[in-house]
Formats: sequence, structure tokens, C-alpha cells
Amino acid sequence: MTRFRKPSSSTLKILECLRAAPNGLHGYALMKASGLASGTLYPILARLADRGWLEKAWETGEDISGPPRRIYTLTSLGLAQMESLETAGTLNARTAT
Amino acid sequence: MSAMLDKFLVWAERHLPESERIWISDLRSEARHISGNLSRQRFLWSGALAALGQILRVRFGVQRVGQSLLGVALLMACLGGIYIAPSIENEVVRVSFYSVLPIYALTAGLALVNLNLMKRFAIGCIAALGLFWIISGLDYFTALDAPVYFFRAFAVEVAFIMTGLYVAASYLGWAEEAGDSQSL
Repeated sequence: MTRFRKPSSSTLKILECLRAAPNGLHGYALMKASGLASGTLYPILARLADRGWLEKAWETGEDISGPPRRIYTLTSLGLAQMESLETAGTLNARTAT
Repeated sequence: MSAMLDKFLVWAERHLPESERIWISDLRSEARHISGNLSRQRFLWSGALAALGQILRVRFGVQRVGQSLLGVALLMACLGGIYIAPSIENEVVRVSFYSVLPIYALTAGLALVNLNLMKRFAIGCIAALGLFWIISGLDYFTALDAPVYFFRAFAVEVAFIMTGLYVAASYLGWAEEAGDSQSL
């Protein structure tokens, strides 16, 4: 049987930042916005993507230079999960700390 | 430095299972977009440490890594104690300080070798110190021309430290069972 665990405050910070940016954010911008270190941020992003809470896509556009870059966007499942966390009162309580 | 950290991340990628390494290539490609050598290095350092942590956890387990860190920290404390002790002018304090260092050193050794033995040793020490605290409070001892109150206070301090170590060792056991890696 799998147990439900409340997401950590770092995870909630990431989700909040992604919700505030509907067009998505790349890793460095997300790191700046959340205040998390890259070593904390990226493993969480991978787990969230694995669970379908966020989507990662390669950056596209004509004015892009350099190697490819990931853009992270919250999925509808992620949004729904955030809403359920808000209803449960987890989100505000944990991101405030 | 950035190139070295990148090489380390490539190496880490090769030594981690698929599910654990998926984020490393994203981090590496993002690092190439960061302007400023210092910012890029900080970004890569954090990623490299996280990757190292994952490798250690995957290869040795949370408990094994934790008990090694606990043992090393205690050994460092002992070395610090050996360095400080000669500068203590009061002989009673100095002797008390020296006498407790082998206890910490033994605890460190046990933490590195066997966490359960370390927990038993810690419980034994706490019990012995408690007994010492009770006995040294008897009228016969308090009437002696010796710093009994200091000894009792010192015993309480050491017992608190051993209690902290016992709790830390127990937590490592629980963390191993809980399998923290799957949590969000």
C-alpha cells in the first residue's frame, strides 16, 4: 500500500512559482524565483515530472542560442493537486515557513 | 572548475540508475546557459553535491551514509578535544575532559562499525552516568573536599550528549525503513 505524504516546503515553493508563470520557467529562473539551490531543485523537478504534476519541454523559438534548454510547466494534474493541497490547508501553512 | 564539475556530473550519471539520474542532464544543459563563471560554478557545485548524495544513498543506503557522517563528526570532536584539553588550566576540569574523550572515541568507532552496538553503548553510558549522579549525591560524597557538584554537572552534560547520539542513531534506522527517496 502506498502512503500519501505531504509535499515538502521546497516542493510547494516550486509549485507556487510554476503556477505564477503559466508559460513555464526554465531551471535557472525557477531556481531564482524559488530561492532553492540547483541540487535541491532538479531532483524535485524530476520527481514531479515523473508523477505528472509538471511537464518539461525543450525551449523552442527563433531567438534561441546555445544548447537546448528545458522549460517546466505545471500540468492540469499539478494544478488540481495544488488546489486539493490548498483545500487541505497544507499549501499556505508550509510555504509560509 | 566548471569543466571539472561537469565531468563529475557525467560520471555520476553513469553510476546512477535511470530513475535517479534523469535530472542530471537537464541540470548540465541549463548550466551552459548561465552567464558568469561564479554563478555557473555555484549552480554546478550544488548539483554535484546532490548527485554525490544520491550515489552514496543508492550504493550504501541512508543509514550507512548517516552513521559514517555521525562517526566522522564524533571523531572530529574528539580531535578538537585533544587539541583544546592542554590549554585548560584547572586540573579537575582538564582530567574530566580527558576522561570523557575515550568514551566519545569509542562511540564514534561503534557508530562507524555497528549502529546497534553504538545505541547499546550509549544506553549503558547514560545508565552509568545516572548511577554516578545518584551515588555522588549521597551525603558521604558531598561532604568530601572534592568538586562533586562539577562532577555531577559534567555527568549530566555527557549523558545529554549520549542521549542526542542515541536519538540520532535511532532516527537513521527509521529513515532507512521509511525510504525517503520516494517522497515529494
